[in-house]
Amino acid sequence: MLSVETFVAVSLIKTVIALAVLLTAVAYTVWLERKVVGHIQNRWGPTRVGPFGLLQPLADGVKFMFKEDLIPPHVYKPLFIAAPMLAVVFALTSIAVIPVGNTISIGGIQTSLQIADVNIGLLIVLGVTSLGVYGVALAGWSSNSKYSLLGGLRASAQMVSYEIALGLSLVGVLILSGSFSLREIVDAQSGTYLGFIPRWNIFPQFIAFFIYLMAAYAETNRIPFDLPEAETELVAGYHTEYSAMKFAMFFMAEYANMITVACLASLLFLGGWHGPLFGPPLLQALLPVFWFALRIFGFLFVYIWVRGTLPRFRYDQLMAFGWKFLLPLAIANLVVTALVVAVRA
Amino acid sequence: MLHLILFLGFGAVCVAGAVNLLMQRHPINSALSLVVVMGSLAAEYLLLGAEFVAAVQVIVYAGAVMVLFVFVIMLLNAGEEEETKGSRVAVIFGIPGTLVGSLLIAWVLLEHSGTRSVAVGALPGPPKTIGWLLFHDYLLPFEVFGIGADCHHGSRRFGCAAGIAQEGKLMVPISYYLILSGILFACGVTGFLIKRNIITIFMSIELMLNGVNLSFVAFAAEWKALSGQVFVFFVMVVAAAEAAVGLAVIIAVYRTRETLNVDQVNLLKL
Repeated sequence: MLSVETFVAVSLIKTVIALAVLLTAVAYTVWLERKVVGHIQNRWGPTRVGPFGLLQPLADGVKFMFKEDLIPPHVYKPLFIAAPMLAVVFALTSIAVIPVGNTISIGGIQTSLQIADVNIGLLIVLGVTSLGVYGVALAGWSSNSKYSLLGGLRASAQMVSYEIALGLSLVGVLILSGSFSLREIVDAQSGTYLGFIPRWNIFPQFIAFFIYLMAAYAETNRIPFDLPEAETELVAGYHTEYSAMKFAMFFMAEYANMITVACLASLLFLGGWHGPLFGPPLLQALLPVFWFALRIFGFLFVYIWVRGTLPRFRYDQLMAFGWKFLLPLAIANLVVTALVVAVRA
Repeated sequence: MLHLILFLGFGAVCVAGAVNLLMQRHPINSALSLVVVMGSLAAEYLLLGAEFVAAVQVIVYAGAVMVLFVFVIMLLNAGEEEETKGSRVAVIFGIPGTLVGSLLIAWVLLEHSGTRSVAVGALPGPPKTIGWLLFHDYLLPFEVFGIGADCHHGSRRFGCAAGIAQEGKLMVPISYYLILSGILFACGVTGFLIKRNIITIFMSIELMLNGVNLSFVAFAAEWKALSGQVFVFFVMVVAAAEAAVGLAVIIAVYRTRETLNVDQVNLLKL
C-alpha cells in the first residue's frame, strides 16, 4: 500500500496526464471528423494548416481565444456564463474512473492505469452523464431566445429519455460480469470461446451493444439524433447565443462526451485492453493502452461515419424510437440475459 | 479529524443550499440550490459508507428528478415571486412555527440517539448486499412499490463489491448527522409554509424527503442495519414518482389558470 503523500502525488500526476490526453483527443477528434466527413462528401477536409491539416485544431483554438465574446443584453447572466462551464466539467469528470490498462509498476511504485478504482465506477459514469443535461438545459433557458429555449428543451428531454435505454442496455453486461467496477468488468472478458473468439461482451450481448450505440448517439446529440442543434431546424439550438470561448466549451463538451461513450463501449463490450502482448516488459505495459486506443478510434470512426451518412430523425420520431422501441428492447434483453444466467447457474 | 472536516464541509454546503432555496425569489435559482443540496448529501452518504445509495442519489435525484423540475420551470417560464398579502402572513406565522417545530424535533432526536459515534464508511452498502435485501427480505414491499412506480430495472443491478469497512480513528458523533438532517427538514417545512410559488413548495417537499433520507442512512450506520439504506430506496422511488405526477398536475394548473401562485389557485372554479 502506498503512503498518503505518494498516493496523492501519483493521483495528481495521473489526473494531469489524463486531462492533457483527453483534451488533445478532443481536439483531434474534431480534426478526424472534418477529414472523414470531408472524404465521405468527396472533398478533402482541412489540408492547408500543417501536413494533412494536422495543425487545424491548433488554429481553431487560437481563433476561439481571440474571437469577440459577446454576451447579449437579454440573457440571464449567471446561468449564461455558468452553463458551458458545467457542460465541460461534467464531460471531463468521467475520465476519472475509466481504466486504460493493467496495473503497472514504475520505479517500485505499483499503480493502476486509472485515476480512481471505485467499485461503483459504472454508476459514477452514468451519474455524471445524467448531470450533463444541466449544461444544455440551463444554456437553452438562460439565453432568453426562442431558438435556444426550444433547442434546450428538446435536447434535455431527448437526453433524459435515452439515458434510460443506455442504462438498461448496460445491465445485461453487469449481470454477466457481476460487478460495477470497470476494471472487473474488463477482467471478466479475458479468455476465449473455442480457443480463438475472444470472450468480449459484444458476442453474448450484441442486442445490448446496438441499443447502447443508438442511445449513445442520442445522448451526445449526434446525427441521426441531432435535431436540437441542427442548423436548418433551430439555427444552432441551445448554443445559438454563444460565441468564442463559451461556444468552444460546448463543442469540447460534446466531443469529450463522445470519447467517454466510446471508452465505455470499449470497456464494456469490446474487451477493454485485451490484445496480443509481446516484446520487452516496457512494451508489454504499454501495449494494452494501444489496444484500448485502437478500439476507441474504431468506435469514433463509426460515430463519424454515421454522421456523414444518415439523415436526422424528426423530433416525434426520435422520442417514439427511444420510448417505444429501445426501452422495451432493452428490458427484453435484460430479462433474457437474466433467465439464461439463472438457468445456467 | 478528516471525517469531521469532510462532514462539516459538505454539511455547510448542504445548509447553504437549503437556505438559498428559501431566500431566492426565482424558482430556477431555488431548483439549482436544491441540486447542490442533493450533491452534497450524496457526499455525506459516501462518508457513511452508503456507496450505492450515494450513486443512486446522484443518478435519480440530482440527475433525473431535478432535471424534471428545471425542465418544467423552463417550460412554464415561471417568473419571480411577488410579495402579496398572503406571503406576508405566511412569513409571520411560518417562520416562528418552523423554529418551534425544528427545536422539538432536534430535542427528540438528541434525546434518543445517545452519544455514539460513527467512523468513516461505517456501514458499507455495496450494491450486491442491497440488491439481495431488496429481493429477499423486502420482496413484497419492493414488488408493490415496483408495480406502482416501475422501478424494477434500477434495482436488478447485482453488483459485486468487496466493501471494506474502514474502522479507525475517523469518528464523528451520530448526532451531528441527525442535526444536519433536522436542519434540512426544518428548511423544507419553512419553504413549504412561506413560499407562494407551487413549484418552490414542491421543491421544499423534496428537501424534506432528502433530510429524512439522511436520517435513515445515519441510523443505519449507527445500528449497523442495512435496512435503513434499503428504505432510502423506497423513499426515493416515491419521491421521484410523486415529482413526475405532481409536475404534470402543475403544468395542467398553469395551462388553465395561467398562474403559479397558490393564493390564486384556491377555488375549484376558474
